[in-house]
Amino acid sequence: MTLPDVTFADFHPILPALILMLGGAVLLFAEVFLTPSAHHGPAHVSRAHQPIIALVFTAAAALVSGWLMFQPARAVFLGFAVLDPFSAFLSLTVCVGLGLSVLIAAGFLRHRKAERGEFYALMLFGAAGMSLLGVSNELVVLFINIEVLSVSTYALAAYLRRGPRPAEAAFKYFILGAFSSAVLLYGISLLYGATGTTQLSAMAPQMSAALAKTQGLVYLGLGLLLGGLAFKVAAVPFHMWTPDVYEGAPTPVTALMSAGVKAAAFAALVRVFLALGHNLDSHLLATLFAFLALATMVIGNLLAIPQRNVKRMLAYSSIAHAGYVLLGVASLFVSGGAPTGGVLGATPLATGGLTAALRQDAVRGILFYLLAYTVSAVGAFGVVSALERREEEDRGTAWDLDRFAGLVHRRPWWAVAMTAFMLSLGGIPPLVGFMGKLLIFKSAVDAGLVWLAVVGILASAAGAYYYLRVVVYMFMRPAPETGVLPERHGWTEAALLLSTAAVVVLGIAPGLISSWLSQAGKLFGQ
Amino acid sequence: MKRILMVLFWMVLVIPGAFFGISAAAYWVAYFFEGLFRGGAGVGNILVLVLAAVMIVATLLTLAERKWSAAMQDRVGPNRAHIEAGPTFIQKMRLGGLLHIPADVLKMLWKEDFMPAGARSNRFLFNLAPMLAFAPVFVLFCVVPAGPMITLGEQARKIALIVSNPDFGLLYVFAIASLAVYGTSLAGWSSNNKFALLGGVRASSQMISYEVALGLGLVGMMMTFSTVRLFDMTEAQTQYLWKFTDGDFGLPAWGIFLQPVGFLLFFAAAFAETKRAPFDVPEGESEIIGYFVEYSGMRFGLFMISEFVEVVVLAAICTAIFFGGWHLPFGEKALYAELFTQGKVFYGHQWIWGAFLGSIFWLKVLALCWVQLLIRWTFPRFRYDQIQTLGWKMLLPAGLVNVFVTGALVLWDPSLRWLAVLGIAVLVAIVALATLGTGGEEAAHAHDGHGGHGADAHGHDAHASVPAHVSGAIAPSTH
Amino acid sequence: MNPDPLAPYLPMAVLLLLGGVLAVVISFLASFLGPKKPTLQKATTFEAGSESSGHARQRFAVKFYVVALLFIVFDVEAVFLYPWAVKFRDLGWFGYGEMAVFAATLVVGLAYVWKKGALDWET
Repeated sequence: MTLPDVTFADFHPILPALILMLGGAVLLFAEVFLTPSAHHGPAHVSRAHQPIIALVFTAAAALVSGWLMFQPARAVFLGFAVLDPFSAFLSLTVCVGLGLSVLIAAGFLRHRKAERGEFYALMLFGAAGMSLLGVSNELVVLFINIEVLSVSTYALAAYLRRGPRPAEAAFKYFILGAFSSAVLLYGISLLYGATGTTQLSAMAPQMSAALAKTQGLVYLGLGLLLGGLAFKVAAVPFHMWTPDVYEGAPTPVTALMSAGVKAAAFAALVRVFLALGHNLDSHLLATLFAFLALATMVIGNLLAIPQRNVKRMLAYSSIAHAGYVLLGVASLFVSGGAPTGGVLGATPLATGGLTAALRQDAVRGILFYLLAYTVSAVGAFGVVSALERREEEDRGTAWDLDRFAGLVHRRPWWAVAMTAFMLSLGGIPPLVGFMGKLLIFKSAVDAGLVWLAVVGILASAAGAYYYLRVVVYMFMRPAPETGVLPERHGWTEAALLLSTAAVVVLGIAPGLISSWLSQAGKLFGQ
Repeated sequence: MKRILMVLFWMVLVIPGAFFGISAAAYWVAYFFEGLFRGGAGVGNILVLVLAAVMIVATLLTLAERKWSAAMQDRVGPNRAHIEAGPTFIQKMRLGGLLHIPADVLKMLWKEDFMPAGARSNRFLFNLAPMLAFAPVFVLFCVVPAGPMITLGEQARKIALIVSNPDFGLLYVFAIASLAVYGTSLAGWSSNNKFALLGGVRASSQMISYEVALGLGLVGMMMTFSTVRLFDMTEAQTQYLWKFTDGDFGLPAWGIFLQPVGFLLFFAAAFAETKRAPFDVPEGESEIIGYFVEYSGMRFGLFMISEFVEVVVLAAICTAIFFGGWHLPFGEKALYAELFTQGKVFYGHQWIWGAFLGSIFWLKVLALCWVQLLIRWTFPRFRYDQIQTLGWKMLLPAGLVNVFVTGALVLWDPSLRWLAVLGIAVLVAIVALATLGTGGEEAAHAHDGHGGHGADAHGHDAHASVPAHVSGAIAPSTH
Repeated sequence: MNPDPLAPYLPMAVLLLLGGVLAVVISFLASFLGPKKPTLQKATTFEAGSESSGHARQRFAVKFYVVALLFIVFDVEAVFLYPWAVKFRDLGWFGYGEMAVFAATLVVGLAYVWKKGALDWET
């Protein structure tokens, strides 16, 4: 009997995830063994060790991801997973988002007296799923990892389960998430039926034959697959759950969802469709993604404008940002074969569509955008979590714009940080959000999606309105007389400091990570 | 003296004789059906093995249970049923209570079969539940081998006493056995009765808890024999671990020597699946009556008979896996050579050999059924938390440890001898601890002092809850 | 031993069918044979002689759900053990180690659940 040829080198790409899972297990054990009498009332034992453990493991995972980025790309585990700089960069982004969310959660949970070890453990397990999603090169593995990250986030969304809003959020997320998983799985099964394999590398060469024989099956399968993933990235028209879930979930969880889940789902989207899109009518894919991007950018921004609830506004803004990333994805698929002037004025400047180098640029743009969005959005959610108060949550006023009024007089540094995040999200130079948008729009223009890029710029101009409104409230409105001074949390402030630094430094000098970024454009098999 | 002679007469002649006859009949019916169409042997086995042997043993068990409990409690037991017609000797005939069985059946069939108002909203589920409780248990015997493969008749057909011998043998048992939980939980829920609901959730929770241990207990045996077919497992137990003489005599590789822990796990878990005392909280006659409280007539009868069928099937599976199936412990080859080879008395009459071994199988099954009756009437009911503690905190970890210890020993020594050494050591330790443990308890009660006694993985919890006078009944020799 | 791979299925199917038919027949036999004298009293819910109050469609303890969840985890583990158990002589120490790692992750879960008190029915 021959055993499959698996060596320890095969474990390299999943090392970050393994470290995160080990951290989760350690946290679970710390919860039950270090804190005595777990079920004797609400024991107020110090649980400061828990965020520290979580951070240590997150940092370790981030370091390993950084090391992996310079490993040569290869397939591992018989082709079920891949090791490539793209996934390593994704792991790094996830770790950044996770680390910042843990810091925010530490302050948040202390304030809420809701410190329990499962919170961080679930965060780590979820992040492990996200990291693994990046390396999956087989559709069933991909599905399992989507479930790993989803189940963790379902539980996290319901973590503070008192009150109607968290319950509503968790239930909506769970029901719709389960539905979208089913859709995804159905798509996978159709593709399996059409091609006889679930491995992406083996499926790609089968595509043309499958298209000739069972065209409907392939297109339906891909469509369902796209639907399932679009749900996770919150693209219009699969965005309905986003505002309620983001609003109802505990704020640190919202931060993790907006950063990590989205980034991981985008990585899966890019990997799957780049692998399978070769032999498809690329015109079709480009059209599809262009329409998704258009709808998501426009509708996300328009819906965000009337929101007075900052958390809800950030939720809509996260939809809009998914739209910008989708713009980058769409530009990956524009090829010279497309009839000129076909889709939204897709007229390639360079004939023959994107060259390989430009395509790498587009991938790079997507990754950088995801990182930029992660540091900005998590920071913004950090400020929101620092300002909110439990008592007002049920009335829905915990995140009202009024809570930001005159913040500069009460907590000046928070106001400065929030300003940085808002401007970065709005895409205003010299912050990191601007650099991200620049890269995305550049690759869109390179690909010939000029009109779409213009729409994107207009949409982000509209976005600037609601981001700046927060800044206006913080700096130009008087603080309410009766307002209680928001408490300070050391952990949260550390998160704010770090993300502000990232937003500013990466915006001014993106060259700092350019060596990583130039690596990260390399996808396995591309 | 007369009584002893009677017992000897029954034990040595009547019961083995009956099983010999049943096995022989099974072989010839299978032979006949195989002649009708291919695969007919299995269908023939259904008729004799499942419909006759299992059902008859199960039916007799209903009486044996009452008789045995009476014997343990120094009563006479049921003996009043008789026929009210005909000549005087028929009216006086009691047959040791055997007439209670037809009386019970007739009673159940002619009772009013009604449905409480609360259950009418779920008429379908209410009707379905007893069927779901009975049907899976009834078909469980499908993969259990009850006799060797022999060559029979003029056509020289190869016939074995097994309904069907698929590649997935044991998995069939697990799959079908786990279906029974639907019957109980549906019965509990659809009755729309609080007692029944309580019984139903207790039953389903208990059954799924022990299903884990049930599955883990047999993994060790799958590893030792590298198969999940019960037939192959039985055949694998003919080899000797050690031969004591040059002849056909030695220690057979029976599962009980190789996997005593696995046996205890499986037996305890399967016992819990039957929901009989001490695991009878789902029914608990004296407190919540159970998930079948709203059922009357034959529907209730289905729940009851499925319990007894389960006892028989459990005994049969244990026999096939852990006690060598139809094989004699030793001397089997010698005996065959002595009687059935060319020129010997029974040469050419292989069916005698098959029926002889078949009756050995059924005797072992009977012995294990008796052990189950013994346990059922010895131990008091566990508390529900004790049941869950036993299942999750003892059987599950013990099962995992057993799997990996077995794995290491089998890989280290594929001849299984070291596994057997450990197994026998564990067996001795369990017997010793059980005996000493009971004695220790007696001493503790007598001196009111040191209560700690050796903790063996299986029996500890049971002993802890046994009052002194009852544990005296377990081991009277320690007085 | 089975030259025909489909051979075992015919008797099995016959037995399954027979089991189903028998269950249906037996459970409806009594309704044909028995008397029918329904009364209001008989139709009430049985609660040991006392008047029943409310109905049985009520919530029950969450522990039963926890047990159900644990069952899924560990029964699936057992299911994964079966194919390995049959083939583990061929897989050797490598397969043994792999399975040990797999089981260890679940043991971690068991230890957590145990220590967390999910297996204690008294509290």
